[in-house]
Amino acid sequence: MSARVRLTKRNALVILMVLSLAAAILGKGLTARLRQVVHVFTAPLGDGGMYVVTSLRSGSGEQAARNLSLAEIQRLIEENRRLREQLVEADRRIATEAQYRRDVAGDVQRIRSSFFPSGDIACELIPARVVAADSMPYGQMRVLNQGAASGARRGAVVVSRLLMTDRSKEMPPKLAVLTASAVVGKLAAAGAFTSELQLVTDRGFHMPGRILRRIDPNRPRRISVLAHGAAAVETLSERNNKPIPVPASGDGAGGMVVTGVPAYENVLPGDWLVTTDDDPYLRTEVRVGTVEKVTPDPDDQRLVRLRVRPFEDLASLRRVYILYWKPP
Amino acid sequence: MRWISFLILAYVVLLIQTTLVRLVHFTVASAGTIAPDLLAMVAVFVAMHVRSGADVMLAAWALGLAADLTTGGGPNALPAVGVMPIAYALAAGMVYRLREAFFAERVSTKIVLALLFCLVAHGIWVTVQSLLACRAMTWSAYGQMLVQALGLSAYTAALMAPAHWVLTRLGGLFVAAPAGRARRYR
Repeated sequence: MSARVRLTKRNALVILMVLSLAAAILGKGLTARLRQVVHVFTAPLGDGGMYVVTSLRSGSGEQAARNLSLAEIQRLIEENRRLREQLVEADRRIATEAQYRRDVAGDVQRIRSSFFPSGDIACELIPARVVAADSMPYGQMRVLNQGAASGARRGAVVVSRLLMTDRSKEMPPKLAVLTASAVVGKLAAAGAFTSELQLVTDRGFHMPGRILRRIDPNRPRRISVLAHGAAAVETLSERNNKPIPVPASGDGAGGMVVTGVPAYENVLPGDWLVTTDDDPYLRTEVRVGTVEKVTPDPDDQRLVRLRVRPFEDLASLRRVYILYWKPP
Repeated sequence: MRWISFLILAYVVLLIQTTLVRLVHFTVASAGTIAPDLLAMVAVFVAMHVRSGADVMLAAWALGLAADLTTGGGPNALPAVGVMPIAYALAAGMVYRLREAFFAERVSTKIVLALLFCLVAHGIWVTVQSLLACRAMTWSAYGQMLVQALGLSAYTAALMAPAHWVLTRLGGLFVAAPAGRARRYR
């Protein structure tokens, strides 16, 4: 007597539930493959939807602004002009420092190559578009329309290019755009034709970073430093303004959190969070966000906790660049 | 159930869920992003109107799988697939059992059943994913995600009445034999 089982809907449901349980236990390997298959179906038609979303989100803004008086407008214009000058100056200083670091890195590379002959370190920017987002709001992930076929790799840093220009000024000929980059996340997975971008604000996003304190001549700040083997209080200046290495992670609510920052470093709102140049996928300093709020650490009064707002408006993120820096 | 029509509807709803829903989401500092779950609305509609319990749970399983395969981030960058289909199927089974105790025509019924569905499905998902990521998870992060699930449930329930109105007009395409008093789809 043979035992034959009919494939009824009830039996099919039981089988599917068991398979689901097995998939949940098997974990990440299966998850990544299955998700890539789904993206092939959602990405082509999702592109139009994301275009509508990013256009409307960037057009409307997150918050409505109140009406301003003429005097307030004039004051803001003047403040913006002053800030723009400071920004240009800061960018110039950063560019000088970056040039110095590049020179040092070049020297190191030359010394290395004399011992271990190898090719140049290639850096490539792969343009990509956000074509879909998560269906559930627990994570901050985006699907990009470029995958391993274009060179995208898991762990690669994704940046946005910010246009820094003034429409009222005539641009010099043969100069396309003046750009700067801001990190928006890392690739959590890369399939053949799509990849998954984990935004810097995702709860599971972690990165080593540095805090760059901005020097404002109008508001000098006092910091504690170690001078001649003893602690001393000095005014922050070019000489003693060293980047503060910090761990940063996403808070899942549109920002980032930096913990364990010594209070004596006197970090203030407006300072920058940047990447470190010892990341194998991004060997340079790129801006990530601005410190928005500084609060004492409830567990240790000697430390402070920072809330960082990303430079880029992630709600309207559309065009990004996957940075492919060939690991050593 | 007319399965081909249902799968096409699920695909369209999934596309809207992964793109256009970003237009109506909002962020609460203490909880995170709050957005409605359109797939849950379809699952609740099916659970309220389809005659066979097995059909209801199979349809909910498919919708849960679609949700699971397009959800990432959190403590696990790529959460394990398989939890949401089970959670959706169980929640749909619960709604299927409960529907006889309510007057299906009332708006409050749709709201209450959508709220219950989302609380059960998302409560299970958040808890199991937190357990699977216990190394990276903290109690405060788990609490934050539960608050987020509560917000999502309330938001989904609030939008259930208009969604039900739309689905009622489309229901004839994918519900072959409606349950109850032979409801006619216009």
